[in-house]
Parts: sequence; structure tokens; C-alpha cells
Amino acid sequence: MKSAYSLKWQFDDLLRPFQSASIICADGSLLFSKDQSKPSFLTTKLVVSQIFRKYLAPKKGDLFVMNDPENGAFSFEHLFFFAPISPTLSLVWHQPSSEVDFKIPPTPLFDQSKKNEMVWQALLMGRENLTELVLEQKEILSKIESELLEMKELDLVKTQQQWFKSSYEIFENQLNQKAMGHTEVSIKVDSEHLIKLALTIEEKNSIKAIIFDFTNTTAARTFHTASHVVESMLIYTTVEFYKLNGYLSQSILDKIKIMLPPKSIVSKSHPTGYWNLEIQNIISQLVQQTLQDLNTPTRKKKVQFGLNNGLYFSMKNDKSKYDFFVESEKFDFNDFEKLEFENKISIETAQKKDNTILIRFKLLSPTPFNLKIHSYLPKHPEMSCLKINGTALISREVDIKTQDQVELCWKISSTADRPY
Amino acid sequence: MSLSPQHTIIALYLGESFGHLGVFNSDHKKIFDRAFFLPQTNLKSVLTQTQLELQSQGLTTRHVYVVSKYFDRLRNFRLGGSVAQVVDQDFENSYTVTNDKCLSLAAASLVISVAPGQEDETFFNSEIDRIKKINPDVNKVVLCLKETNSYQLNTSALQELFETKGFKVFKSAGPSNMKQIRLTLLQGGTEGTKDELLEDFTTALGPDTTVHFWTDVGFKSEFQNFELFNSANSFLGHINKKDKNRFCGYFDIESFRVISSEIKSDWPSPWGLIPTNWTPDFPFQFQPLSELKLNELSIINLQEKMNQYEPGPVLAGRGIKPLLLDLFYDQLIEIEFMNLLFPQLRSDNYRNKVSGQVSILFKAQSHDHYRCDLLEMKAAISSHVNRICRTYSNDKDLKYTGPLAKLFDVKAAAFSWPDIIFKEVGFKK
Repeated sequence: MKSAYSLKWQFDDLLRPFQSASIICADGSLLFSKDQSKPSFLTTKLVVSQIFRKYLAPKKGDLFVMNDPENGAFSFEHLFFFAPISPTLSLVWHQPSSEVDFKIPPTPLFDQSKKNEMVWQALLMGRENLTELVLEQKEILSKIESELLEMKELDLVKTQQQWFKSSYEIFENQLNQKAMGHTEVSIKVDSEHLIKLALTIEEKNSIKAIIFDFTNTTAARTFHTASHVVESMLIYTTVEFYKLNGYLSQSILDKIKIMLPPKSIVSKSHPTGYWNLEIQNIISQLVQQTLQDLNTPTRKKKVQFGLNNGLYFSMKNDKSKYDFFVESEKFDFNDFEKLEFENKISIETAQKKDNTILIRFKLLSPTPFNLKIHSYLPKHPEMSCLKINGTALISREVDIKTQDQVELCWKISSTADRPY
Repeated sequence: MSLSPQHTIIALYLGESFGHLGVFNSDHKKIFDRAFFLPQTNLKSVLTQTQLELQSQGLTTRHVYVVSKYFDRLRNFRLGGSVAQVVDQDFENSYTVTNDKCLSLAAASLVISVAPGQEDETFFNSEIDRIKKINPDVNKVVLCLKETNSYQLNTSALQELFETKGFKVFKSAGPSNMKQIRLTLLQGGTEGTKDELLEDFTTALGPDTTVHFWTDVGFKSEFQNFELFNSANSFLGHINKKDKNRFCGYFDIESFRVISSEIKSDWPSPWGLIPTNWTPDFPFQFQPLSELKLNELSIINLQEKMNQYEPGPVLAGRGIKPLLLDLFYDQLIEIEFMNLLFPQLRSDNYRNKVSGQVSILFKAQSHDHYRCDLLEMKAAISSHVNRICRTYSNDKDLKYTGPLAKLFDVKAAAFSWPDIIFKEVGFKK
């Protein structure tokens, strides 16, 4: 039998094409997870896989997709694919698609390797990029399936048990090296919203457990997110703190207990998942703080929680879509270059000076574009960083036409711009 | 083209950290070859020794054919510390506004920003004084001004002005053409490296020697600096295409990567998109110089970030931290190129030293369920390499090539850089 060491190499190789993917056993337990970037989809993937397993009776050769934030997914532009990959294993993974701005319920794309024609007509017809993305996923899936043929031992229950045991041993070792106890922390997001987190790490009957408790967190009104969104970031941050990245499995998950008051900020799904990024950001800070408090023997410092500014927007017309992203020091405006190259805009200013980026351009394209803000941090946006014809943007969506001037001005900053 | 009996040609592969040189006579016979590890010697010294040896045999050389990856050592660096830019106002550092991940190609403090009305000779003289105070070594300037400007000094006059002040001038397209600006800045920022490299050849082999570098259109003695970034990949892609393969797996002491035989335009360089042809490659997650380390969990691990070439692996003589390459010390001795590069590998004592350094790490593992031994780790690495190669193979055997290809495919054909370069030069007897 392969050692846990060799198994890890195999898991890593299998999930190499993805940023976020998980391998699920026949009983629904998490065998291996890869979660390389934020936002975290760790628990979201498990919920998605439960939904497919429970309602759609997946078989080998099937491929499913969904993105419905009210039904286990994250937000429209985050697609989750699910497929059985061997007699006992399934794969669930995340792929972003900025093109998708509508709800996709749990949907079969392939039935036992055959295209589901009805679904393809309804979902993919006329959406070339999305079709290409789906076909790419199918190709990746085929490669994974053929790689798995050479890794048959992964299907054996005793191999899986061995992995769970190794993963738990690592978790236990790490926990033994850190403090146990209880600590609490809270963030008043604004006058109406409080998120309260208590962390307990305890040992009962020689078994250690981590307990996160959100009791006394404000009930949901307009600002809220689904519990799996919160759990994903809780576990992601905990795994990072204990350096367990790449070793997470069900045997560790079983030792992390999470209590979320029903219908609260942290447990009520939002129809579009609009607050997911902000709430995950808050949760990440809370968890880091509680774990640090517990492990810092000296007096606790008063901590200032806060958010960095961030903006994700797109420009779209019937033919094409261009995406732009900026968050504190990170930015991706490559599509400006593309637009300029395609003679759709004329750049009047492109300047990086005194830690400020200023881009000003005129639309040349005869076809109007729809400029849409997909997400903006923090919670109460002032969109003065985006101006159309010299006037700050006041709505999340605006049509721009030939000769309109668009201005983006972004102050690059590494510190939290918006303290709570 | 053919050679007279006293003439030879040199075929050289110049990597980032190592080189392999072969001297061929008019009968197409390799007279001798040398492999060298750049952290322990330098190119000029190797070329000088080669020249002395040729002279001792009454031979000369006039042509050197080079396939190079040498410029790739610049990929991790900000460039253009001594490159000034003249740009229109509102376009300062325009080429950097599109992505935070792109490295800088010129010092932001050396930007001369020109607004209509202030662009006379006095203005430029004072600006040159200003940037000279910031960096007295600044000696190159990239001009990227709008073609439709109505400045008092046109681009030609500006060029003259800067040249009289000792600057080498590079002209770029307008300021909103960011790709073209990057290309010109890269040309300016790498000029020093190119000059040093060519000087090594002329100093060692004489001023009459012509150096031909492989570019995406074949060997060229007149080339642009940026063409050298793609030299090795383009060469291997070209060979691969002749063999009718879409990809090949390439393995040497500084990189393991899959190389495509496709040529693409618009190179996504570490400094941003640059309008030049390039051959895509797909580096493995772990490289020959990845360090072997116990991680925070006391698990033996390969670092994804590759170590610097200096001091190199333990088997190179100076290193004390075991790298991936050191794991394979007992197989490397079977490879002719490695014997040429590190002759000390033949000594038992030396190999024992390498083995000792490696085994210290394996002994330090503390997990019961997660322990591995040298054989298992090597097997895991080999399986990983083979699995990754298979994903590019499209049901056809992927060709493994390069000096270390035999580590992962015993059937791989013998590979010698000088031989393969010489063959491509196409001299007639």
C-alpha cells in the first residue's frame, strides 16, 4: 500500500488544474481539499456535493454545474462543477466565470458522458465563452479520470482510512503545540450589525476539538450571508493558522464544531451573495484574532478591524466582455490594453504617480457598453473612484456610448482603508 | 556554407547557470567539449581556455552559434535602473497601470514628463541634470511621445540632444501603446547585459568572431535583445516541430519544463505583455534546484520556489542545503554530461558526502504516518514528472529531451547541446 506521503503527491497532481477543488468519498466525507485562494469555497463545495448526491443520483460520466447562492453556492459568477470520477470518489470544483450573471440551479451538463441536449440549448446556446469553459472542464475531467486509472488504490477504503489517520495525526500534533482555552471577540460592523465570535479549544476524553460559536450575533436584515460561506472562511483561516494546508480531510473537519444562530448575519443566505466577500473578510479577521489571542501569553492588544477598498467591474456589450479588478495594492486592468488594441477606446491618460493610478479613456466603439459594478468593498460604497463624463457614478450599472469619457482613479494602499 | 581545414566553429548552449560548449572541425567532428557551472567560473574564462586550446592545435574560430537562456536570469528583476524615459504628461509610467504583478522596466524617478509649453532645450537640460543627480550612471533614454505632438523639439532633435549628453537613445511608439513601450524599455534595460555578454566573446575569441544567437527565425548575428529571452525555448520548439511533436519534456540541471512547439505572438513577460514571438513553456511545480526541507509539520518537502544558482546543489561542491538534484546523485553519475560538468561526482568520498547531507533530512522526520525514505521520494518525484508529461501527451508518447532526460525516461535518446546546435547550423563538409 502507498504511504500517506505518496498519496499526497497523487492528490496534489490530480487537483493541479484547479485553484479550489475537493475529492469526496462515497459516504460524502471529504478526502482531500485544495484551497489556494480567497474567497474560500471550502464548505461551499461540500454543500454543493451533498446537493448533487442527494437530489441528482450522480453516475460515472455525469457532469453537473450550479451557482445558485440561495441553494448552496456562492454568487452567480462562481460556478461549481461536480462529477463522480471513480467507483467511490467524486470531484467538486470551482471555476469563476464573469460572463454568468444569472442563476443556475443544480444542472446536469453531461449524462453518462452524453451531452444533455435540452440543458445545452437552454443554458449554453449563444454563450460561447461559457460553452468553452464547460468543454474545458469536461476535458480536464477526462484527463483526471484517466490519471485515476493509474491510482486505483485511491478507491480502496483502507487507503482512504489510512489518509484520514495521517491527516488526523498531523492535526493532533499541531494542536498539541498550540494553546487551548477560551476567548471571545466581536466586530460592530455598523450601528445595526454586530458579529460576535467565541472560540474554545478543549480536550474531552483525550480528544481535542475546536469550537466556534457565533451566539449573540445580530439577526439578519439586509446584511447577511449563508452559513457555508462563513464556515468556509472559518475553516480556511484555521487551517492556515495551524499550517494544515494540503492535509485537510474529514478527520480534521469532524473536530471543528461551528455554532451559528439561525437567521442571523452569519447564517441566512442572500439571493445574490452580495455580502459574501465582506463577511468572509470580517470572519477571517475574527478567527485570526481569536487564535492569536489564545496563543499569545502577553496582554492582548486592542485590535483595529477594517477592510481594504476593492472594486470589481466589467464593460460588456453584445459581443464581448472586459473585466477590471482592484483591491488595495492588487489590480488587474489588462483589459484596458485589449480595448485600446481593438480600437474600442482611446486612452487619454494612463498614469501611475504618487501611489495613485489614473486611467481616463474615451469610448470609440459605435456599440454602447454596459458598465457594471459587480462587487465593491466596503459595505457603504462611495464610487467616486469611477467617473463618467466627470461625474461620479451613483448607480451600480450604467450604459456608456461613443465619445463618453470614463475615469478610474485608485489610491494604492496596503493598510485597511475602512476601519470598523 | 563550408569550413576550411584550419577553421572550427563553436556550438554553445548558454543557460542561466550552466553552459555546454563544443568545438567542431571542418570534418564535422567534435574536437572537444566543455561543460561549465557559472557560479564556479565565468563565460569569458571558458572561452579564453577554448581559444588557447584551439591555438595550441593551430586552429582558429570565426563563428560561434549560441542557443541561450542566459537572459532569463533577468526575469525576476526590476530592470532599467539606468534607463530614463521621456513621456507626455498624464502618461507617466503608463506601462505599469495594467497589472500589479508586472515588474518595473524603468526607474519611476527617472521619468521626464513633458507638458506642452515647457519642452524647450533649457527644460530638457535641467531635467537631464535632475536625473543625473538621482542616478549619475543613467546613460539610456527611451523616448515615448505622441506622434501628433506640437513640441518645440521634435523627436529627432530630442534624440540629438540626449546623444550629445552621452545617452543611448531608444525610440518608442506613442505613450498609450503600452506593449510597445515595454518592448523598447526592455531593449534599453537589457542593453548592458547584452554588451557584457558580447564583450566576453570578442575579448576571448577576438574581434573578428561573429556570434550568432538563435532567435525565432533561426540563427542571427544582428538581433534585438528581447529576442534572446525566447532563444532556448524557440530552438527546442523548432526541433520538436521537425519531429512532429506538439510538446516535449525538457530536463537539465536548472529547469524541468514542458515546451510547446507552437509560436505565439504577444509574450506575457514578467514585465507585462510585449509584442514579440514566444514559445510557451510549462515549468514543473518542482525544479532541480528546489530545496528539500522539513516544513512546519516536520514533513519532508520540496520548496516550490527554486533556490538561487549560487551556491547550487551539494553535488556541485559548495552547497550545503540538499536540493532536488542531490536526491538523484547516484543516477546522475551515469549521465555523461554530469561527469563533464561535475567531475568530482566520480569520487566515492564525494558521493558519500552528498548522501550524508541528504540522509540527515530523512532522519529528522517525526511523523509516524507520514514518514518517507529516499527511494520513495524519488519514486514520487518520477511519478509526478511522468503524470504531468502525460497530461500534455495526447495519447502519444511525449518526447523527453535535455541533458537529464534519462533520469525520468530510461529510453530517452542521448542529448548533447553542442551536437544538436551544430547539426542545426547546417554546415556542409
